[in-house]
Amino acid sequence: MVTIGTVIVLVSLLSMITGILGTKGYSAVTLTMGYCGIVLLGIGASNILNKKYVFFVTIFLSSTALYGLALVRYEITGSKESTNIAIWPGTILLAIGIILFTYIILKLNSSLSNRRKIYQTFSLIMFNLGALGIVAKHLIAPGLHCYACPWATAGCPIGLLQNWVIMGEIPYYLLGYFLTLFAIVGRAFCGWACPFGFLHDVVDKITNVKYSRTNLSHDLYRIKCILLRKKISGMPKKSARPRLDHLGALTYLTRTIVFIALILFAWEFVDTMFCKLCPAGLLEAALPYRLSHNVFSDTLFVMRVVIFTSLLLIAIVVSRFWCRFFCPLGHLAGHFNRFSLLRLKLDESRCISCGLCKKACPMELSPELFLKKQQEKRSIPNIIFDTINKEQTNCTLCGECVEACKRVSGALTISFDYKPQFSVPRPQFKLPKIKIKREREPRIQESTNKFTTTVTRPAPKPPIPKVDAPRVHIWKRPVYIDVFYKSHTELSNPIMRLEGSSDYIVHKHNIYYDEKSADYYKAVYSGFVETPIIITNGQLYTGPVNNVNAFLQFVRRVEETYNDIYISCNAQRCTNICKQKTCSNIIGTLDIKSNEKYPLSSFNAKSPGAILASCHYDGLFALYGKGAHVPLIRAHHGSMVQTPKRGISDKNIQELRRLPVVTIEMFLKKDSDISNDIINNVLRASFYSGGKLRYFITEWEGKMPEIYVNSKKIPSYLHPSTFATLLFIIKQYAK
Amino acid sequence: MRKRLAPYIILILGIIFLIIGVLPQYDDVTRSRNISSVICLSCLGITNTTSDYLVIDDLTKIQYTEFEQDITIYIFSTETCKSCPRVIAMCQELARFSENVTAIEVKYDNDVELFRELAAMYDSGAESVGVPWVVVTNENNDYKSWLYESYITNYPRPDDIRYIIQVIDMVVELGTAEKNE
Repeated sequence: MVTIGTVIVLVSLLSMITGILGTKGYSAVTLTMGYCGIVLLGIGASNILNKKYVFFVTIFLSSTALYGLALVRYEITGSKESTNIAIWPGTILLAIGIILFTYIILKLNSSLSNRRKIYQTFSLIMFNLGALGIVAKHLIAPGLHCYACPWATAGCPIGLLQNWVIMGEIPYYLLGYFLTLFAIVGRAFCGWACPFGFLHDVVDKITNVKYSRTNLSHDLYRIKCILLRKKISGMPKKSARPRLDHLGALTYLTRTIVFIALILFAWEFVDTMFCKLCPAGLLEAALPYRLSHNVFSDTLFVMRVVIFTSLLLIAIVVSRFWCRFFCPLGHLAGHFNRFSLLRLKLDESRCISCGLCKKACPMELSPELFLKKQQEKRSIPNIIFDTINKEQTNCTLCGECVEACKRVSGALTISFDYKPQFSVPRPQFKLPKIKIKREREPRIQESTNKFTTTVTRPAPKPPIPKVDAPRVHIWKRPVYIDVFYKSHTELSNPIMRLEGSSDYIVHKHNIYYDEKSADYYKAVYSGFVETPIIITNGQLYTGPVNNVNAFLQFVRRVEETYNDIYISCNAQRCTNICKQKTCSNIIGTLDIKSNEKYPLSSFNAKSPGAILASCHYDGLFALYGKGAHVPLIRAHHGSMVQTPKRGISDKNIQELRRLPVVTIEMFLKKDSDISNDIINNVLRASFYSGGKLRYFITEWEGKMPEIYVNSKKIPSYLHPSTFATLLFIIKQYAK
Repeated sequence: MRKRLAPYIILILGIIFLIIGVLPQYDDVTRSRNISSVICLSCLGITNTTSDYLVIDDLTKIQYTEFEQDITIYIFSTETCKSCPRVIAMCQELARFSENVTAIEVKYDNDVELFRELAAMYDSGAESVGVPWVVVTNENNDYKSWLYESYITNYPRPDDIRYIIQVIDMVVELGTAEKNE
């Protein structure tokens, strides 16, 4: 990939210098090809070096170099003429480039917020390709970018709309563009492509001062009271949750007024009146033009500057102020948010109403609220007068709420819903009637006397039998489930229903009321925001809480791993050293003999790690395979017995407790000494990590074991046959 | 109709409209290119479309006498330019008063290549020119164009007729000076 990328970049650079592919040397072909090469180069380099930031650094440096070279070339040629790209081939090439870049960005293994920033930067470059002399003014930019800007690549949709109003014709091309764009992405271009929206984001990022929605709502109410001379005493408290329709309706109203005004003014004055006051136009066109031509003294210009400055100042405290209150393009697109293929979705069963989405939203919306209400009302709503829709028209699908939600419950997602759902027609034919013979119920003898005082009660309904938990597998030993939770509502998930079966033993730990549980939670799971935390047979379950099948699959995989693990006892150590009998609870009444191997089902323990850790003197150890020979036999030189070295100190335990979730997949040969050494370390480490170190063992015929940490293969010289090596591997590979 | 069919219906409608827009009888693509390609000074708020049309007063008429050299005024415009008709009318009126003055309208929509060539000839990138843009030339091809003569500050709005007269005077002076040499 690096080679291909490098070759493409070199060819495009060569073309820029010599002008082979384009007459001016900076044609759309060259530039698009160069960018594709850069992306390939970035991906390849980041894969090789295994560092994500390498991708961004490569993209940035290469883009800067390419852009710089193009500018130099532009200066050398000295031509001020711009190159209109050939209408159809150029447009198709440009579209392919953009789609390819979009696809790569969406597939990047980075946060949505980072991907959005990259895409906004890319869009800014694409919107200003006119700086390189590449213009495609027959296209329409998906965003507010003035076509009068000397660098503009494409036309502004609002400017074009006004021109068509002035001409008094139906804008088919523009209408088609609007409908196509909005049907696919809704208002997402505001959050991902619009340069003026990007400016607002930058202002937000720099100042980072936010005037909360509650406060804004409160102060608007105060102004209303003063204007209407109402008593302010009835004012809602600042902490009160604002109503859904309060601010949404206001922003909707202001945007509607701006949109109608721009149409009416264009019609009435036969001029692009909105453009004369547009703040984006001032920044991108009027200001550069006036500065370059020394034309300053103009009332209209001063008015525009005042508008722009005040807008920017308000944007410092009210994020995305223009987009929320005035943007006519966003207003049009917002109506399609409900219907677009790219949509925000809420999984109600996973939503815990934490309100994080609302806090994260730059438009200060409550995605949870409007999506829930929308799902309640399944029918097509009144597009204009629906309150929920008004709120939703402000959503730019920036994904900040999704990012925030991902940290807690992952209920919110953004995705393309491209599968059409057709309503199933009712069958026209009649199904043949099947006669079912019913057993006659014994009739209750009706009393002939109408005025009898004795009332015959109907026979009581038979009690509904308790539905047992799904018994997919009959486990050899019970499945132990430990649940750490904050509130009882978290226990209403389907996994908790398994408690009804004798195969499942559920221990519930409330981390607010149970001190011991709270301490353990703080020590081991403090990094987890999401509750409930479910530990099954000593291993942490991180799958969906509502999916019992996924849970059972996980349990089965764990149990399959445990099936081949046997516990043996180093009788010499056990009898000679230990006086504490810490293992008594786990071993129970089992009469342990040396040189014997016992399956896990013989012990009263959740995991093999717990069994091993119960002995403080390494008296118990695990064997992979029933045929493995017990290390006790290899005892020599007096009293000390040769056992695998497992020097686990308190410091090590603390380190293990701070671990993130790590999955180790081991391909081990049965009855092998190396395998035994490895599993003894891993089982103990997993126990001390509170199940966050998850392990699965698969039988392997190879001589040397193969180990994968978080799907990354570990080199053969790093096998965790000692505890120190295991810790090193986890630190290195589980980032 | 189920809700999830809505985007597809909208999408199909959009594509149909796009196709209609590209058809030669409408040719919206070319029109949008023409609108967007040339900087509209009216959109930037530099030229004015709403003010009254300026008529040459008597005093100006006296000053505006016969010239010894032929003067050509090029008015660069587009079809959708809002303030172009006003400037074209002004220049045509100037041409009406003097036999030596010719006003030529260079319309972007009629001939893009000619527009670009002339714009490049008179020291301006074709797309960086804002319309309406007036270039005044004499026989020797000396030229002056408005907006680039920043030292003239008496008439801040370039669509003022007196401003154009002043530019014409400057060009005449240039021609006269060359002749004397």
